[in-house]
Amino acid sequence: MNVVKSHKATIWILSLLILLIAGAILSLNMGKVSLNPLEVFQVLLGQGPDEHNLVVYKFRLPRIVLAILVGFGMALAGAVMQALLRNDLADPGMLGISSGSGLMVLLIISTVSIQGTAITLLLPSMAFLGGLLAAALIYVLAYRKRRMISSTRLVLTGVAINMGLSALSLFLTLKLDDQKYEFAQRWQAGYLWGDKWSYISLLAPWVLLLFAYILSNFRTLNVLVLGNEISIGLGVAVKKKFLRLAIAAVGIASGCVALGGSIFFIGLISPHVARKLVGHDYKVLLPTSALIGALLLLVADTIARTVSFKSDIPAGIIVTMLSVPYFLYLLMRSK
Amino acid sequence: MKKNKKLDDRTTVIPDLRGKSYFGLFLLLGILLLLLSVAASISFGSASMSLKMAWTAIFNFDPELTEHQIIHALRIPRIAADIIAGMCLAVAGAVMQGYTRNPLADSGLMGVNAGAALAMAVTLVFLPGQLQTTTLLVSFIGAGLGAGLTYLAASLNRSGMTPQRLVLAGISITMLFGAVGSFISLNYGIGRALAYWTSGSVAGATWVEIRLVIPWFLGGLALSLFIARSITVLNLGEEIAKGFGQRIVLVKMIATLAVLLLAGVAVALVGPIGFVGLIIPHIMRFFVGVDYRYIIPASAIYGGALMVVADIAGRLINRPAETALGIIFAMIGVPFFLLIASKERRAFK
Repeated sequence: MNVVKSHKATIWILSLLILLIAGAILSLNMGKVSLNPLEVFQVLLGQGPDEHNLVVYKFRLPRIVLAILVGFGMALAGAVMQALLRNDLADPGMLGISSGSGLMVLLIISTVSIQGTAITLLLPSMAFLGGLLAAALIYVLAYRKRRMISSTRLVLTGVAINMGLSALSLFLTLKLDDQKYEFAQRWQAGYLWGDKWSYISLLAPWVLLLFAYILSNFRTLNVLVLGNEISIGLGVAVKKKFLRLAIAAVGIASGCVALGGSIFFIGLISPHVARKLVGHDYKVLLPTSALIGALLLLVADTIARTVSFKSDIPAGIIVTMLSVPYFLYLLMRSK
Repeated sequence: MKKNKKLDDRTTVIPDLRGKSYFGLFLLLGILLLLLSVAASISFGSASMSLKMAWTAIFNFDPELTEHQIIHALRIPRIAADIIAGMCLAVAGAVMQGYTRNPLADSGLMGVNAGAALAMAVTLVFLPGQLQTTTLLVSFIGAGLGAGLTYLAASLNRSGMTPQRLVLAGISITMLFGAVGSFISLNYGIGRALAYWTSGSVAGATWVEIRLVIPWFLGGLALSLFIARSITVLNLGEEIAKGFGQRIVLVKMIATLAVLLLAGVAVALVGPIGFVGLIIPHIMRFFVGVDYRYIIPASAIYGGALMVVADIAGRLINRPAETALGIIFAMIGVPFFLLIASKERRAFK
């Protein structure tokens, strides 16, 4: 039985990987300047004309890579958080990380001009810091001495902190001028703005390193899902492991939010779909949900890039519109 | 009447903890507080007025005097909007908390505000420059749509509606509507206009609006008072309520209708403000006990007073600019939410 299952999981992971690569290639062909597959192929071989090179290397490819990375990271963070909180409906957005980063970004852009070189490094690093701070605040508020961390408590605290941070954000938002306001609004809606190779080269190792760490702890996650008491009975140092894995998940999510804005729901939906495909073993669940997240955001961003709306629509909006109906369906089916 | 009497004998289960005279006193205190805050609100403003001036403006209106006109055209409608919205939000919160048995229920969490905000975005783009009455009506409909979808999503389940499911459905409907709303506002560049409305303000309230919402407001209030007793029974649990022969579905339907009317009125008047409906009923329960026949009227009075006071605070902080009501209530509401969540998390197990 087990062998059959892991066989099935391998097939799923492989086909998702192939789908992702195919999707990326397809996405390279699509956009406001149309390039046919042959032209893209030429560019990739280093034989394209300059303007095609520019479109592919400067605009399209970094955005695609970023979408894949952010989707991958958010889904991974969601999967870990759902295990740690033993709550299928937890995600990085609900736990205040996104609103923490969002607030920090607003603080920066309401005090500093958005143009300039310093801002390009300041924004993502402050967003990262904001996410970590929000998560730490929630943890401290939900913490009780000599007691296990209750997941319900964490979730409710997260909801409250989220509302408070959103109100503060609104307060700052009202003072911005139109141009800054639009930037802030895009950020909050999940706009993949950090599509420069310099950013990506920072995010990619971060996500991959933490992915490796989390994946190497799949056994701990499998046990933690069963509950604190059982985990202790099985000899897992719950508090220590919980904290380390939580920091890893928050680290990934904050990094992704820093470059991709508040993209809700990827972290929530992807693990659910993954569980349906490969079951509950975190060894295969982690890579599967990460790949699904990457695919989902790639598709959403390709839609955002290709369909011509009046304005540049953030991918996060499309992700939310695509996945909330599915989430509500899950809610109706849940026991 | 006779039947009610009989029911009274049987339902001594309902703890009638505090005496009637105590409740009367508490209510009187609330009315006093309300009157005081109204007086403060009238005389306070960019042009200070004496209370005597306010008194003559109300009861002896002289259209020749500028002061009278300011009071009549600006301050009184504003205060009326405060009181109506505060009462609506507090009573809607009390009813919601009672019949869903969810201590954290609040119109802000149940899709009402998100629905109204989306409707407002649609209005700003597709019906620009409309009369206030149209805007009012549209946000009313939006509020109903948001709440309706949230309830539907939370209750379409074999095991019925649970508090946690309701909160999650509310969050997801809010997110969906929020996404559609920001799509519209980015696409048509109405973000800031929408943000102003979202932040909550009574500054622009007019007599026309007040007159328009009063029937709905009174209707929602009457319905809430009418089912107050049934909510108390329902709050003891559905099994017990069934044991008393209560028609649960009917009560829930009336309660939902009341909440929709009240929350719709409030959101149409002052914008999507959270937390009033969360805070007030909790404080009332602390003072008057668990009987909703007491909680609902007390929530109405104190909710109205709190809103008037918050509006004054909004004008005082950060002068001469006004601080939005939504921000003031979030500052009070978040610590309060945390407190309740830590006390009553049993409800979520």
